[in-house]
Amino acid sequence: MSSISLEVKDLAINLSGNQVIKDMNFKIKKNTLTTFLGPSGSGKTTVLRAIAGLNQKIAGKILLDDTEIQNLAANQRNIGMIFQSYALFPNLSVFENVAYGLRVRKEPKATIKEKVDAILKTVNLQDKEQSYPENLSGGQKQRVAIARAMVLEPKILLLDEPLSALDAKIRIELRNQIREYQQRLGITMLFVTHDQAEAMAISDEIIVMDNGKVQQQGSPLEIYTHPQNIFIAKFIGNHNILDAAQLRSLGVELAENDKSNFIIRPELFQISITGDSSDYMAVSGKVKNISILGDRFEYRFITENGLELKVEFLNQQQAFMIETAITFYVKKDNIERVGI
Amino acid sequence: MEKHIDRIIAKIVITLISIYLAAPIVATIMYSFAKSWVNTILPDGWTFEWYLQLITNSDFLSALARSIILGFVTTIIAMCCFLPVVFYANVYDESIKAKLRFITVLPFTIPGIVLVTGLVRVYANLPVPQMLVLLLAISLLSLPVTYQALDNAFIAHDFRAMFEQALILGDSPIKAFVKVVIPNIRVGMFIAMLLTFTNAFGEYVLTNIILGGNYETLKIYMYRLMQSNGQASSVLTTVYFFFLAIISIIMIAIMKWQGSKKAEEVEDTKKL
Ligand SMILES: Nc1ncnc2c1ncn2[C@@H]1O[C@H](COP(=O)(O)OP(=O)(O)OP(=O)(O)O)[C@@H](O)[C@H]1O
Ligand SMILES: [Mg+2]
Repeated sequence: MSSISLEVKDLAINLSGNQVIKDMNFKIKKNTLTTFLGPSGSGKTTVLRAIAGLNQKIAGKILLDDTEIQNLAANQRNIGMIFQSYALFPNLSVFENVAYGLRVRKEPKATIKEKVDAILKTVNLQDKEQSYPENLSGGQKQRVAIARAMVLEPKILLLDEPLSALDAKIRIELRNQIREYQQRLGITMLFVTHDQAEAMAISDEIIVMDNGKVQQQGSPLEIYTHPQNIFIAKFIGNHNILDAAQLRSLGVELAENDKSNFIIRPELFQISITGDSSDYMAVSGKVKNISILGDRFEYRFITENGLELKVEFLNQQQAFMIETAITFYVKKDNIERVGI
Repeated sequence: MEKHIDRIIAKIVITLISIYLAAPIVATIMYSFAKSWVNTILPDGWTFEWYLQLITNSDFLSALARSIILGFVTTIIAMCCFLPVVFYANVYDESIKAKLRFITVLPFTIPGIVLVTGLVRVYANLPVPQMLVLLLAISLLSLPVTYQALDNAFIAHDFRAMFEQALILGDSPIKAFVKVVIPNIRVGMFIAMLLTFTNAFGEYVLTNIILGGNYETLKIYMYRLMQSNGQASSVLTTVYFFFLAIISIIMIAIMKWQGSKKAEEVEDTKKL
């Protein structure tokens, strides 16, 4: 059996004359949590709907466990999906919401009771069995939606920005819970978000998409440290992005015709060097601004030739005051070359 | 001081208008219970005789039955035609709503008489039963109210996501519609049905012209009675008036109950 759960091949989707998805290819491994990360309007929902079978007209192939499913109706794919609005059925109790799919499958009553009870226990809602959706908090509704999808043991579970309606604290709590369910129950999940911190925190793999195309797929660390283009670099982190001329002005030697862009991550600046000083780029200038982010300080730093850089340090020592003249060092190996 | 006078004048005007509107109703109701009421300010005495006469009258009973049948069948036709359309517009294609809204006001702008003449002309020589023409025409005329009531029913929830969720959980589209859409629009549907029913039940112009004497509904019977027997017709008018009043009260009660439920929900979400 292959380790690939879902494979999307040459997917193209046209919505009312608008080429929303162009030639998309990616694979998702079994029992992993993959996030689809991209800005609003990049086509995340559209792809998810195509996988679930809710878009009628698509070009390309979708394979689930090595079987083509693009021609199956939504109710025959054995895929779970969680909508942004949760889509709980207001006329049914929590128990009946969760039991819905099992009843459709005509499972015996005793089995239904057993499975629903077990999954409600997993999501910590056993005491809400008889409540109705209107009497639940946002986080509880979300967990009912998750239970309703998971109880059917779908081959893959799609989640479309499941946390976007919740406030910051619950979001973090719930995203960790979702990750925990995923690992505990061994579910393959495709999780859509436009929040890079969320994607970083819970994913095995991230697929960055923009403009109807996959921009890069990789582990969170890979994507963070080696973004393949400027768009990803800007979207994924708070990186300093410099062109060749700017980097040259900081004293780094580059080939005459080098037109690349470069990123320097703000956390890679140091205040002292160890070893050979020719391994380092030194930048002198003044601190212009400081933001105290609790665990770390974020500085805006102006170099002597007027370039503005973002520099971060952990909150372990006295912060530099504004207008302090200072020299920072960055290891040349840590300056990352990226495509346009 | 001036404000005070304004208030008094306003009150007087409102009272006069109320009396003007209420007087015929009160008089009709009194007349329906009167023994005889000629050349006196108040009737000579009170009686239920006219009511007894009416409910034992076979003409009345069959007219009533015909009106009820007309109401029911029209309601069913209207629901079968419009519910799927409103559902489709709300769930799949919001962009057709603007067009729908235009179509739904057409019955307001085209006078009934024009519609009838057109319908009679077109269908007179075709082998289509007149009854069917009438039923469809009345359903169409009820479109503005039916559409509005149904459309409102779809505001409360994200029906598209609910419907699609049911599909993903394995249901067929029809089962999904019956299991998750209908139960959540039932109040709106009920109001739409009541409105369509009363509309068809009290329809006069179309019925009279298309079927006329061949199918005497309550309204047609009422007009015929008015010309022959004043007292009997006042009984019928009273009965009819209370029938409509009860339906209106039911609808107002439902809407109030729903409104207060919504307000509660808003309160609940604020608490979270
Ligand atoms: N029915 C439609 N007809 C035409 N264009 C559409 C339709 N639905 C969506 N689009 C367009 O397709 C693009 C992708 O939309 P999609 O909803 O997939 O984006 P998304 O990445 O999920 O965005 P968000 O983060 O805002 O949810 C958008 O530019 C949108 O305007
Ligand atoms: Mg979306």
